[in-house]
Amino acid sequence: MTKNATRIHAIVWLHLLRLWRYKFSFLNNILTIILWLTIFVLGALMFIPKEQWSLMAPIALWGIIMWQFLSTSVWYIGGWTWFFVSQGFVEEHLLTNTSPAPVLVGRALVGLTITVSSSLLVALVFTGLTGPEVLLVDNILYVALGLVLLCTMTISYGLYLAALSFRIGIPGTLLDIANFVSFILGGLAVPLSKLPPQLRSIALIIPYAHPAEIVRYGVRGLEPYLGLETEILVSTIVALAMATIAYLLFKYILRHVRRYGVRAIGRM
Amino acid sequence: MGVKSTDILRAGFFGMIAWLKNNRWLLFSMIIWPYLTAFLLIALGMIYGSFETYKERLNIANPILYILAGSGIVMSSLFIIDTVATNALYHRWLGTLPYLMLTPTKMYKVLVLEPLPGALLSSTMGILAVLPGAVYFEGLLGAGKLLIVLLLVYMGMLPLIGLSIIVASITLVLREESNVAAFLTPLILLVSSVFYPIDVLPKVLQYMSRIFPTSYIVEATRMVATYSIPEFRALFIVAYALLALTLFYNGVASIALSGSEKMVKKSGVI
Repeated sequence: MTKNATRIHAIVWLHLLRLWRYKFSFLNNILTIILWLTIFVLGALMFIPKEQWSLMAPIALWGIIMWQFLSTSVWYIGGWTWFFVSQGFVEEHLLTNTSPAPVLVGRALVGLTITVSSSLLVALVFTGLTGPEVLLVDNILYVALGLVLLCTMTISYGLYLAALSFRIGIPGTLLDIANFVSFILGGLAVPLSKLPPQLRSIALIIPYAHPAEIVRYGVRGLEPYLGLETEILVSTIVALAMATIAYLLFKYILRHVRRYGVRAIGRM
Repeated sequence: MGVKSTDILRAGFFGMIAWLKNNRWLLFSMIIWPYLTAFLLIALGMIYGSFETYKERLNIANPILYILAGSGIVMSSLFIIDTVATNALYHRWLGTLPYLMLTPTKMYKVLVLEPLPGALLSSTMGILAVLPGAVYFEGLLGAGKLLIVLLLVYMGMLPLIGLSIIVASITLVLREESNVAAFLTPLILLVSSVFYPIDVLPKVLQYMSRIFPTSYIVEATRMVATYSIPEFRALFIVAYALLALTLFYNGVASIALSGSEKMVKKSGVI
């Protein structure tokens, strides 16, 4: 096996082993996500007359699924540094001349497993509330493309947070706030065309809004605000740019950490 | 002979203050959080539907004040359970739990008393943060109503602490990396029907809601938001229910924590 293949194998093995070892935490995470989402979904449904639930349900369901990509990247990559730093793992990796970055990237595997499992359960809750039609999709290819682009962006964002938390203390609740704001302002919950003009102009500069438009096109054929081709082009460029920035940022932060040590505080 | 309870409480209080002083963003987020929760729900609801439908479904006079107070309750309950339940876990992560176990002071005394000031302070912040919103919508009456809610949250805090200790005991015994019973917080809030009428839930969950303190706080908050002057007799019934739950949960918690302390001492804490 080549050196890189051995590394990838080790990282995947580490995270799968941890997932199995901490199976109660894994189940707890899935349950926690579902329950929190159900609280808000039930609250939001109270604003809609019951006969219109089936119309809004697919948009809400896919909005939630996309938001989970963001949320799990933030918490299972960015937020995990709380545990990683508290246990002294950063120093341990650096002392053995190993970069902690690939280990953190590997957390995406855990995040994705949790996202997929909880999305299935959320879909089940929605099916119970509005019927099985909520699961129908117009074009699976566009849904997949949108999700891959969104996933690249959210993993990159998770890595920014992880890298920055080695230098500064980011309170966890602030990450939650950013997550919540992104749900509406990031165009995840609502099509851009449905947002009020002021909010729409903010949403247009938040990267996640663009792949979200592609996903909604795939789900119900809703025409993206900037047109399908433009949205695909913008999303691809932004996703690649975000991934490159994540790589460079980690390189810079690790150089800094080697010289000055980890500054992250225990309670974030 | 161990450390006095008042000293542990004082240490917990100063620890919390030092933490907030060193992490002012956290303080800011504690204040802004209930507004954001309310904003998320209202914005989603308004984009998908209308306020009139919400008002009709919940049968309340002032939906904004109700959602704000509801968000305050959600945040306070979350702070209380999280602060108390994750304290043991946090000590284990830092490697200080074995030292706490070696001190002459009983472990359960430290694990129960140390996070108390933090839980009290953060739950107060969760409710007081929405005070400006309440004053804006209903003037001094709104502030008065919110203070009644705060009082109810304090009463609800006693059984919640018992429940959190049970959660902490489970986490210690299972030796997982995170709080494995974290799902209990949203479960409690789900069955308490903070943002929707309880009849939308299946019957099983409706019965389950009777054993969780937040259901009674939410019920009382709904009374406060429904009438211009709430009926005090009904509020007293809520207070009695909370008292009964306090006795029950704290009784179970003391047995659970002593049991987990014994098990952990036998098998190790790391």
